[in-house]
Amino acid sequence: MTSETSPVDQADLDQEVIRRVLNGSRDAFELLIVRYSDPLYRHALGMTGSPDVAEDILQQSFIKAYAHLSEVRGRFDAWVFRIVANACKDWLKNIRRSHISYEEDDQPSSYSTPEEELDRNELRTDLEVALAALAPALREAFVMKHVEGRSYEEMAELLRTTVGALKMRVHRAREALQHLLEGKYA
Amino acid sequence: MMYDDLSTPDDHSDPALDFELPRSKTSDTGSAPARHLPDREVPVPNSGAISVLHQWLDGDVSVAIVRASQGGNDAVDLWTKIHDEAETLRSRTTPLYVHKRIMDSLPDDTYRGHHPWYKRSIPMNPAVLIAGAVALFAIGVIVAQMVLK
Repeated sequence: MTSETSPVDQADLDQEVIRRVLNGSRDAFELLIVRYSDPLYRHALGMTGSPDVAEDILQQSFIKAYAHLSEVRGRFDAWVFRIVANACKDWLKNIRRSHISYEEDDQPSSYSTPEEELDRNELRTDLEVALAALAPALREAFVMKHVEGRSYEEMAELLRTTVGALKMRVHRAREALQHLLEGKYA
Repeated sequence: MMYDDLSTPDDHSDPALDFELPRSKTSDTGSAPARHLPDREVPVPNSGAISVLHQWLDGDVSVAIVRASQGGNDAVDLWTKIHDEAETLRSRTTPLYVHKRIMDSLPDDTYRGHHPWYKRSIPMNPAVLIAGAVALFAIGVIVAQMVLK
């Protein structure tokens, strides 16, 4: 597919949209929301486990991004990702949860049989409980690597840390999850 | 074969790793105070198999190598299930009403003062059109009166 936009082109397009917004075109900001909301929503959903909380974090983060748009230096997508990532970690540090809230999820099921759906729901619940036991930084690294499918290099750029440190976080997260889940599923 | 670089200095001083050790529900004593992981690597049982597992999950070795290690089959089965669940999450998209909710909650005037008034676009609606027509009519009346005098 040759019609995909390269990251450099995308950054230029973002800068053009930002210039329009700063010149008073509030509606142009919707282009940035449409372009980046899905990966940001998935990150917030992976970090919080709750669609409602993920939506709230996304909304507050874009409002914050809009208010501080003149401060963007470099790539907008990396900048807004850090706003969302920090909001997720703040939420995790502040919240005390006893169970997950995937029951709020109203997305259609893709499972073939009720039994399969039941099994997957149970795994989802157990996985979310296990993820909730992780420190925010470990959960963040695990979600970025295994849910969002990012490379260590991309993660390092977004989180402004080193590949080695991120590998350590991902490895510790995996070992903790395996420890918590292997008795039931392995 | 690529090995994970876990020996960089920052691995041992990662400020983000100040956290409680997750405890299994089945092995929790309930009375022990929360333990903090020391900020250093600690020996773990069967570390060779775990290392191979990490390499597989990082895409560096094939699944056959993991299955050949001690406890490898169980680990592969577990992580295959976790990956299937992660795949489901990866296909999620933002509900469309969230876009509208965000746009509706943005302030109207944050950047309105950033450019002169005569460069701003004027939204076209019946009220604006009527106001414009009334203004033009009033100007026409004034000009007509001045000319007739």
